[in-house]
Amino acid sequence: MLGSLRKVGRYMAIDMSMPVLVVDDYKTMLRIISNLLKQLGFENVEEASDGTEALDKMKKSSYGLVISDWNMEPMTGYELLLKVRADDGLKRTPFIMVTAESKTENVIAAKKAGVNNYIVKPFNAATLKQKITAVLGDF
Amino acid sequence: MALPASKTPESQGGTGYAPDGFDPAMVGELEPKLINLMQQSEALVALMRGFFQQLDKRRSEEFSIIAGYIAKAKEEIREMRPHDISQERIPTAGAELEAITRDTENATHTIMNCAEAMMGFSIDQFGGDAGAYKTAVDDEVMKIFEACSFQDITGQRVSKVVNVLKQIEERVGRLANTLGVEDSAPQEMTAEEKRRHDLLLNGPAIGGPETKQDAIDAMFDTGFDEVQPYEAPVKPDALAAKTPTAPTVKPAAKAPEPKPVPKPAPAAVAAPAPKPAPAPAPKVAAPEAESNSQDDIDALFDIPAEDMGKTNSQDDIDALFD
Repeated sequence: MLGSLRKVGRYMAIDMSMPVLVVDDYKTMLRIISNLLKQLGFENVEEASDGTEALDKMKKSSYGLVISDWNMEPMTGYELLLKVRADDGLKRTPFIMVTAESKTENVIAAKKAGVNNYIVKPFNAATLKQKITAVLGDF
Repeated sequence: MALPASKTPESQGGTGYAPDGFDPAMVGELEPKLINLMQQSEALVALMRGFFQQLDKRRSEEFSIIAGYIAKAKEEIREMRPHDISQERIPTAGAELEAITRDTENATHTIMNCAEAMMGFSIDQFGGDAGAYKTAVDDEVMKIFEACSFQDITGQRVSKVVNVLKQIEERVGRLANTLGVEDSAPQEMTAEEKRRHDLLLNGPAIGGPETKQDAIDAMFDTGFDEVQPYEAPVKPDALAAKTPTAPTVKPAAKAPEPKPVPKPAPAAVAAPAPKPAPAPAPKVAAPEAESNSQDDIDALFDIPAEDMGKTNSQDDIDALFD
C-alpha cells in the first residue's frame, strides 16, 4: 500500500493522505493549486487566505506541506515563513513559496528564512510536481 | 497747598504764566527747552510719517505682486479641475480596476468549472455514445471560449484607467510648469512604504518573472534532512545513506545558516553571481562532514546591494536549489 509507506528521502514514497495547506489571498489561485495537488494525488488539501489564518491552522493541525503565496495581508507569506521557522513545533514543516515575487532579493531572503523551494508565477503542473518532489521525494 | 500763581516773563520765552506750585525761575528755564523738544518731536513724527508712507507703498507693491501670483496659481489649479479628478475620474478609475478584478475572477472560475466538468466526463456517462460525449465536451469548450471574452472587456477598462492617469499627469505637469515648481528632495518613506520595502513586496514584474524558475532552482538544495516527513520521524542514518546532499536549514529567526550548495552558481548566471569558489565545490556530504566552509556558503549570498534587483535566469536560480 503506497499510502502506508512512511519513508523519508528523495527516493522514497510520501504519504499522499497527509494534509497539505495552500495559502493565497486570491480564491482563483487557491482553487488552481488545490486542483493541481488533487490531480497529483494529494487527497487532503486545505486552504487559507492569508498568513494569519494559515498560522492559526498550523497551530491546531499538523501539515505535511505548506504551499504559500508571498504578497498577502495582513500577514505576508514571508512573515508566515519566518514565524513557522521560529516555532519549535512547526519549524520542520516543508514550506514551498509560490509567488509572483521574482527579484533575486526575494529568493535570497526566502532561502535565508528557510524556505524549502521557490516557484515563480506563472507556473505549470509539471513545475509544481517537480518542486514538491525535490522537497518531499518521489510520488 | 496751592501756591499763588506767578507769571513767567515772556521775555524769557515763557508763556508768561507758571503752573501753581512751580518755581517761576525754573519754569522759565525749562519751558523753552520743552517747546524745543516738542518741535523736534513733531519734526521727527513728520519724518517717520513720510518714511512709513514710503514703506507702505513699497510693501503694498510687493503684496500686490504676491496677491497676483496667488491668484494666478489659483486659476491654474482651477483649470486643473481638482474636484473633477478627486470626485469623478479617480473613483471611476478605481471602479474600473475593481471591475477588472471581478471580471477576471469570474471568467477564471467559469473556465475552471468547464475544465473540471470535462475532466469528469467519461464515455460511460453518455452510454458509450462518442457523439454525445463530443457534444458535451464541445459545449464546455464553447463556454470556455465565451468566458475568454473577458480579455476584451478588461482591455477596454484598462485603457480607460490609463487615460485617466494620463489626464492627471498632463494637468499636474502643466500646473508644475506654470508655477515653476520643481520636485523637492525625496521624502522619507511612509510607514506603509517602509513596511512594503522591508517585506520585499515588489509585486509581479512587467513582462514576466525577473528571475526565471531555472535560476531560482539553482539557488536551492533539495535539503531533505531538514524536512519533517509527515508523521514519520527523520532517521539520521537513513538520511546519511540516502541523501548525499543534505544540508540543514536553521530557523530564520535565529540567524539562519545558509545550506552548503554543492557547486557554485554556473557561469550562465545573468544575475549577480556570488563570489565563485576557486574550483567547483564537491557535492556536499552529510552535514557532519562539513566539506564546505561557512565562508563558501556565505559567498553564495554575498551579492552587492545594487545587484539585488537584477534578473537571473531560471538555470541560475535552479542551481542554488541543487
